[in-house]
Amino acid sequence: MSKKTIQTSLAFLLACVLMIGMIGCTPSAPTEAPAAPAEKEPTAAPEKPAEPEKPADPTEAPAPTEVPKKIGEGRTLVVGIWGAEQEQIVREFLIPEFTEITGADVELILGGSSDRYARIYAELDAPTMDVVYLNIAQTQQASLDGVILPPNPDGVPEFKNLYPQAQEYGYGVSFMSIGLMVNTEYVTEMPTSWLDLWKPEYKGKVAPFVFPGTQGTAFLVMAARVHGGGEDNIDPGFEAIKQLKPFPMILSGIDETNLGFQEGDIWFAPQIRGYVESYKSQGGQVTFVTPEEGTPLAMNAASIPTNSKNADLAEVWINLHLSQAVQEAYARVLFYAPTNKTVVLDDELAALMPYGEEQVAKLILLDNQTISANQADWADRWNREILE
Amino acid sequence: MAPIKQKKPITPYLFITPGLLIIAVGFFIPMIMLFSISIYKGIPGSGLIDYTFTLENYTRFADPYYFKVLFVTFKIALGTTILSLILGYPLAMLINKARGFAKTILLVTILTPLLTNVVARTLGLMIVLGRHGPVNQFFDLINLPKFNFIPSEIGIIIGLTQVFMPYMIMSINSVLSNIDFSLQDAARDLGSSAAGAFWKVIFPLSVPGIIAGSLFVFLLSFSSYVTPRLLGGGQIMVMTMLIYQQATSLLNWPFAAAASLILLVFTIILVTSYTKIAAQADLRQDEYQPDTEKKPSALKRPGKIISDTMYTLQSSISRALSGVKLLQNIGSILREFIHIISPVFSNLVIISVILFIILPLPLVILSSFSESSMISFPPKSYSIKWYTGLLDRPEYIRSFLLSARLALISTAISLVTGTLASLGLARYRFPGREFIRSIFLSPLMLPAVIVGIALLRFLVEIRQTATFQGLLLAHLVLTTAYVVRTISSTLVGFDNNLQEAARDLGASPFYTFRTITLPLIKPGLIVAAIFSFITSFDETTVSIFITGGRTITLPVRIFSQLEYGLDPTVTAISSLLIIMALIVITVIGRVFGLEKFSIR
Repeated sequence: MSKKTIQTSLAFLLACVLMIGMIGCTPSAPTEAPAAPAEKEPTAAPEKPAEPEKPADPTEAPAPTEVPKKIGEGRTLVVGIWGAEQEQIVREFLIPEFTEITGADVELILGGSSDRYARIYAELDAPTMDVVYLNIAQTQQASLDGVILPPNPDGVPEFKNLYPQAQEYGYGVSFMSIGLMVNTEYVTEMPTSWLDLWKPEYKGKVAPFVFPGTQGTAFLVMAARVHGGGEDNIDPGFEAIKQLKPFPMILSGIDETNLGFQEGDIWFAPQIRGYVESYKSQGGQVTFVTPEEGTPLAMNAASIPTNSKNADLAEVWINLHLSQAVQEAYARVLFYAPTNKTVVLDDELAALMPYGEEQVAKLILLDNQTISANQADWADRWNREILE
Repeated sequence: MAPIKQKKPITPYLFITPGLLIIAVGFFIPMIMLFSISIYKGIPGSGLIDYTFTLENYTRFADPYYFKVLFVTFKIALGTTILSLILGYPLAMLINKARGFAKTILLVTILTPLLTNVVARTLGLMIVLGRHGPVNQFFDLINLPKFNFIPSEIGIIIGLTQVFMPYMIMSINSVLSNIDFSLQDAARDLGSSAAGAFWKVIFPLSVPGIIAGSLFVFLLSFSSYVTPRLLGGGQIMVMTMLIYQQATSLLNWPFAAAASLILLVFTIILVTSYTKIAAQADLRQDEYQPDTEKKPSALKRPGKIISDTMYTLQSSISRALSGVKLLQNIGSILREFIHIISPVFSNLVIISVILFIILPLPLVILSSFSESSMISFPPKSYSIKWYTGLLDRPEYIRSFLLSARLALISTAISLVTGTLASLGLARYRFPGREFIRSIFLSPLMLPAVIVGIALLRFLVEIRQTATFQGLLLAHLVLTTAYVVRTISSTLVGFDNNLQEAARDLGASPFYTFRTITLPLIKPGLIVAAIFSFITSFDETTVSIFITGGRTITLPVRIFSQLEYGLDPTVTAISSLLIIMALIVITVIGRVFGLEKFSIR
């Protein structure tokens, strides 16, 4: 065959493939077929078979002749959630159960909370997601702005079992504490207080997190608090952090953090306990220290955007997220503490996170409203004073 | 000699229209919608907007701090462009001279890094440039003080060069392949030195490629986020980080919109003037001067001054050196020495540049076989579990197919509309032509996060969120930019008379196009197609805002996978993509004949 023939036939083939591609396989492959539960049996004890149906009835009223139609038949729930391990956990423990109960399909939109947060504001009139996962500050602001619905205890029976901190604005799904990540390879004397970070022998080895951000905000506020200020008097915080210069890095992600600790450039950083325990379990030479002044609370919450058309299904989903199976899975895989008082964890696991009434009560709740109102100014100040 | 028939110039507008339509719908309308909120107040702490008229967002910009950030960003982008040019040009020459299999290998080496996830690549660079990395260890060995690449502007420049140099190389190469290198021989025969033959003949002819390449590299560096963030250690603030902070953390869209508008205007002016001035270095002056009677302004064509200066510099240095009596004896020995060393030296330089580009690849591929999920190089133990793990994740295959489909369709459509637009722009001269060319490039001038948010708000208005069409529109806007710019540079110096002659001899327009125009722009077409495909396939930030549950592209999925740290699954996927790209490029090279790239 001459080269020309080869070329023309290949071009023709390509054109055919393109056509088939465009017309043929529509993006709706048999969607998220419940992932075959590999090792763990998903539904150990999760319960609530009849409960979720009750509040959902008002929308549908199928004539109860034969098998009552499931409330979600033919509908799709779109959930905005983080990827990686979180995606895997919900695929294994949440989606199969959800589909079983409601008969609805599930689509996940994966991404970080900042992008998701910006998105729900942009999509206010026509949200693409029915359940969104955000952090505590974002949830609070979105609620005050009317972008998400307030919690509905009737629709989500597990709501009454939540700790008070998780009942504030959305449905809190995980507790995390922010404390000190310590490099055990280089640090022999464990710190006991936030103030230890300012010891002269540690100069140049303390890495803050970017502001605004969960760890960054917590660090700024704690720095202020231990130096005589607080959310309403943030100056001591800025002054204190400036004293820590030069920084090895200003962190914004897990990789740089772990890499920095591994290379020995960073000895201390404010970090979420779950991430420290994760890294430690992979062999990282670090440990988590709870300073005596306390650890700020970080929390992930699930919420329903205001104009969502599937609020009833969303409530079923959220209820399932608060169940034993899912909460336990989060604890085991990500070291995120449960927000549901009735969830039981074994002692070994419970020791690695804020578990139980006593410990949860000790978590410091930051004044998120003050922080929110001042965030823009503080960010500006941070850019100018803390960065180069 | 004035041409005989003056066709009524409605045809250029016909040519340009499809392309402009895409940019208008996919970029301008969303951006105008976004810019229109810049005159309102943002409510501190909230994402809602206070619809009272105010200019505070613009006056805020008068603050010297923002100028400083703009300046730093500009400095970094400029440094990257210059470095890419210096390192990339020799490589482009090399690729152009290569034949057959060697050429395929070189092309593959340059292009495959573009398919690796940018985060994985940058992390690899952080390991290499880190305080305990191989580079600093080497410095230690030769007793140089350790240099802190991270954080530093130099580190960012190196990182950005590593990422974007292939664009420079390919742009220059596509123009070089249309140059008749016998011109160089002719110059030598007529008595010119080697330096003269290069600087006065070849270099000016390659200027369109340099323009295209430097525009891409500059704009991409200017609007890059991941690399400056990581290599700047979070301590060096650039415009994209600022806008990202305002747009997603603080939700101050009015201010972000104002900042973006200022950025856009600034960049368009920059790009238009740069293109106009740099083009003057080109020998094909009649392209850029409508009337040969009109004398050039007192500006004296600064572009041409550059190439003249380079030549004068090089020749006067060598002349001065040879004049010094002391050196005359040593000189001849030295000359012999240089004669022998020079090819070795230049080969060494070229090899190091190539190594520099493919630097992170071995890191990425090796770490995908690592047992643990910690990033360590070299890995402590090996396993293929990340690859087998992919088999349990059909979502990845779905995302891959979606991305491939999206990229293919985008490339096909933008090749057609973009080429039409380039032809229209090249053939007919009308006022504001250069400006319109810059317009096509404008989607690349803004940080992707702003384009993403603007597009999202637009799609919400027309109720097309989370659809395939919305995604396609976004990608089309980006790919068309690349196509127009690349083909435009290939078309410089295109002799319209050839087409006229064919028409006069009775050929139909289509036949003329097929047999005359097409072969001449083929190298540009192929490069444009490659850029398009890669851009669409790799596009992350804009897509993050407009993907839906069923339309998650591969890069967005990979990006979300990085939530809890670099998962070796990501490196496994990157490795698979690299191998796939290798195969595809080799096949295309063999079948479509990469040898046809050059006239010789």
